[in-house]
Amino acid sequence: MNIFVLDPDQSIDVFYKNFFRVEFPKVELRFFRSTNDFFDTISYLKPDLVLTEFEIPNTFNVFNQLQSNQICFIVVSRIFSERIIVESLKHGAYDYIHKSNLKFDYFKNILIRAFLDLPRWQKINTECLSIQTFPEYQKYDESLKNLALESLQTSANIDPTIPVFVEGKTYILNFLTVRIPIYPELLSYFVAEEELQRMHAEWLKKAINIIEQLNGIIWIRKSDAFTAVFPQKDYLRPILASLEIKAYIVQVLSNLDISELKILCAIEQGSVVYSKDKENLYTEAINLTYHMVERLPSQYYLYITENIYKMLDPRTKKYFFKEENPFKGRAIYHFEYIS
Amino acid sequence: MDLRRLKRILKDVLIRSCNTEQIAYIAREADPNFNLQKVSGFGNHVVIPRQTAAEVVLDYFQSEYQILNFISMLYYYDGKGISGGILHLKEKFKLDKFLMENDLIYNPQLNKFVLSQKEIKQKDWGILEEGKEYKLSFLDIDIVGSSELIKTNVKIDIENTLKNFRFFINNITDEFDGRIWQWYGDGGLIAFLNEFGVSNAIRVGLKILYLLPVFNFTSNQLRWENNISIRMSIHFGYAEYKSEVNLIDSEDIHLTRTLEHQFGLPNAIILSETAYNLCDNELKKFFDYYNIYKNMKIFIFNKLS
Repeated sequence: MNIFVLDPDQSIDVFYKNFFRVEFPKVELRFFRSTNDFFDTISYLKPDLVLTEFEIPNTFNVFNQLQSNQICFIVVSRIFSERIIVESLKHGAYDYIHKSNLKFDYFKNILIRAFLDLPRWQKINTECLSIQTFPEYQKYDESLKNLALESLQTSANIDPTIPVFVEGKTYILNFLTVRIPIYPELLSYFVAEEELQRMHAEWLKKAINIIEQLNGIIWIRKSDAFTAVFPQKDYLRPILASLEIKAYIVQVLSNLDISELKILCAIEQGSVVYSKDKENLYTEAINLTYHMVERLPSQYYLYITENIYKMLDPRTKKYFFKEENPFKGRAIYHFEYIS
Repeated sequence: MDLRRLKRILKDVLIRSCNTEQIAYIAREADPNFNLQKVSGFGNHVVIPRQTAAEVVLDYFQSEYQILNFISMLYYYDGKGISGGILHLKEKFKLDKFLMENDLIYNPQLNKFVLSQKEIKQKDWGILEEGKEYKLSFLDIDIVGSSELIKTNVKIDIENTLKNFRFFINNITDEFDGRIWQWYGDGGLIAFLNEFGVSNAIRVGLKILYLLPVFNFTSNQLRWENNISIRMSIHFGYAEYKSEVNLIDSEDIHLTRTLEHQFGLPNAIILSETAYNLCDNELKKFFDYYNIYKNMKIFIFNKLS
């Protein structure tokens, strides 16, 4: 079975590849960035299904051509607008899924339903196309399409200098997960557990302040950890943030009569489809950093993956040392103060 | 400073809190030549209303220094018995607020107003006096192998890096109320007030060491092979204050430098026994016994992790 993906956003490819490898290993995927390449290919190789982004040039023309060629297509888009969804379905889309929902079972079920329904859909589609519309229909159809596209342009007209995450859009980001665990020595030091909870919350709050001062954004917050994101190019900032948080933790330790105050930081770069519901974000990078701060030994407090290490300048690289054993199949590096 | 406003607030506090005798007594303490009867023109046997007494005092003390001196006396006697009664300053908070707005705080030890050091960091913390000996804590910092760095790097890069380094040290020092008294280009001497300053000196040292990689990543303009590493030593002792802080020297300052030169290791802090004994108990866990120098134990922190 052939599935063509028409999406100008290259970062979504990894998700599709991983998803189909796991769920539908026999499916063959082809990726297209431009509609020209796409139509050149379908002129000699007809796909069974097309997954297309809505944000492509001449969207409705592309949809019409697909429909007239009897090619079933599903819109997978970052746009979440009622008009756009309805107009897409009106112009032949079999289904519409928002990118932030890809991680849920929706996508898998939508695909299975589409595969099972393909022959019936083709018959219905042939029947539909054979029936002529009223001449006036075109006029109102055009008007609605234009209104839908205009509303899209207005919502997309956002100042590019303001770092606003758009729902459903894919971003490549640096993820820093910081964990300040509560462990037995801490529990025995603080007589009242409420006091420990209050202090612990204060440490996390201060750590978050440090992150925010370095332009990081907190996405996920858990009881003893949080994950912050930094823009793709700012791979040094999460390292600086980790160092400053560690310096702060040492200051805290210098006021407590305990032997150590543990902190673990892990940094990885990866792509993510943005969603306001950040607790359910699908990204391997966040999962990996959480596993790193949970499972790696606290002998060192900062770990980075090879992705990050490769980007560092030689001066910074001198502070990082490769771990003997890979973690979840990836090479990782720990930080040491003596370069 | 808005003296007229200060006088208005002070007059209000005086009228509400003091009787005539108390106002006259405090004014005399501030200036022994003050004589209420004489200055006011009232005779010896005439009762002077407290409002008049307050106005006379505020007319008498004209300059900012004189008024602050008078207020210092007022603060000194607050809660104490004078002229047949215990003085309780009412609405003192108004005076406090005005003075704090002007960056002034009352120092009870010196019985005078000093700059709060929030805006301006004076080398003497606003309280040290020329020629007097004080208990101080000293932190000596030195860049490791600076002469080698100078040989292998371009002059402008060296200058920029050292300038940035001083800025880096200054920021951390300010946070813990330390003062850079002497700077040699590649290091210097930082002073902290009294024995409590030992703990602050250690906290500064720790913070510098833990943030040194941040400095190297962001502000070090030398060749990438040349990361800055430092040696530090901390000692507690005495020194005579001089407004030319570069000229301040004492046996204890000399000892601080000696400890750093003789025992210092890269990215480590050397602590004298005196300083170790005076530092907070919570800080002692960072240090291990290291050596002995002239019958004095030396401790070290060198386990950055």
